[in-house]
Amino acid sequence: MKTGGLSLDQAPPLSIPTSFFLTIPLGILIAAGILLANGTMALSSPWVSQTLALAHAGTLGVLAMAMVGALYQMTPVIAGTPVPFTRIAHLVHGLFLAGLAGFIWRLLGGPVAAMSWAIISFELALVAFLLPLGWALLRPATHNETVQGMRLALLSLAAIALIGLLMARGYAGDTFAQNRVLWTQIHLTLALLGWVGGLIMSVSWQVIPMFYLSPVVNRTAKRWLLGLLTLGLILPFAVLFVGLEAGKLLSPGNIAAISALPAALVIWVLHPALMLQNIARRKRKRSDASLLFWQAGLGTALLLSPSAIAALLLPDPRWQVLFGWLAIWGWAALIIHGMLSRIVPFLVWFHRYSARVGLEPVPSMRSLLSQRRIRVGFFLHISSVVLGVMAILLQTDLLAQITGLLLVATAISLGSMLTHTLKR
Amino acid sequence: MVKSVSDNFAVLGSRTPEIVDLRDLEAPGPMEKVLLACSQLDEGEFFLAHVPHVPVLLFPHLESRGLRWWVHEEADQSALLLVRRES
Repeated sequence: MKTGGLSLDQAPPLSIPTSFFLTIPLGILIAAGILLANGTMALSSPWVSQTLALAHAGTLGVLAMAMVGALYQMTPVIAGTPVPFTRIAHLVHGLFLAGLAGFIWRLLGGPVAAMSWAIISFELALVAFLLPLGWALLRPATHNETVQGMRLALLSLAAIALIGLLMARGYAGDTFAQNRVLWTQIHLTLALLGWVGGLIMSVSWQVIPMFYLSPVVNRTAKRWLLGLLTLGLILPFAVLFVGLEAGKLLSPGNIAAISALPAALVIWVLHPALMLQNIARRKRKRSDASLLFWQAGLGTALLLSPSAIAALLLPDPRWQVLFGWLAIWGWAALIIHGMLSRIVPFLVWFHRYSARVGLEPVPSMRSLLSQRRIRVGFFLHISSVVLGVMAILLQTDLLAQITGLLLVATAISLGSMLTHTLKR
Repeated sequence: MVKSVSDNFAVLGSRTPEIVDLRDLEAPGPMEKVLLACSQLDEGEFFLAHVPHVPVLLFPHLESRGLRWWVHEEADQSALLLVRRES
């Protein structure tokens, strides 16, 4: 039995997660600008600078921005240990934005110095973020599978940041690392499956039962999923030692991709199938627009394995771009958009109203954000995913630019949803 | 599931307050219900609820209102929460 021994005042100030969340629309607008200015050039091959810029506007400007903000919020609550020096989060945020600006500018033709600036900014941001978060997650008061998943995600972030920053030196006047394709594959695997997938999976174990009353995933299943995921994240590194010699039939990059199969199976097949089933079995089937994002995102996850196989086996680079588009803007961003539309009203209600419950009348959490507003955001987001798929497959500038316009509309909708809720 | 309430909460002694089941409420419903119920407790009175999970975010509110709490996590990750207004 636990009594008053848990650390209290666990939640960080509202301004910390929300400052990160509020700049997500900016990341979407950058992606939109790249599509509007470059059309299909940004959707033609993963090795084109404009495509790299588009992908990183999504991963750094949208996904990482949400995930870093969410980690500051969730770590003390879920792990039961406060994050030390929480106020540094504002510095991390600023450095992250500066890094993003320099990185995208350089990839779109800016000076070499822009990438050097980006590298320094990201390095400082990552150290200031990873050390306090790592410290809190390594000595949690509560040991559960979500904490383990968060640790795995953080470790993956550290690894992808290291690899990514080394590769970024190729754009900062240095030479690209040897075996660039192999390192890119490992960077991609750890980023999508370890960092993004690990965090989405472990957090969904908490938030889906909490917000939608779905059945709880049992501990044995969680441990198997985490074990398989870890295996699939470690195996690609084995390629570095044995694969380069053995790689006669397949390239080392392909061997690395194939060796991540256990992780891909967990993140893009088992976990989404399990969560979709649990959502269908929830206790009260109350209409909730934020659930549409979860269902669409998890549904898109199920398309990622065949899409990855096509990207791996077919020579046309459009399949690789399609995979990236579905993974970043389909699966991960849809889920994050949905989480924001549920978690931000919850945080506002918690920080502003919960202390007054029972003492005076307070608004309900649901009244802080209309379902209609969430549905509009969903419609815009899912339309941009579908239009983007068509633009990639058909390589039509007009479709790419319409996708860009839909991204602008999604950014405006998300930005207005966030500001409207935060003003309540 | 639950052995018996008094096994989990020795502080109750022979008292057996009714368990209010809040597991079918989505967040922040359980927090809201507990705070509402506890605002009506008299000194020394208990409130006992079965909540969907250990309500970490609720604890600071209980303490700031002069309420003492005990929690017991069940195997299914739900939790029994006992609250008493201190005399």
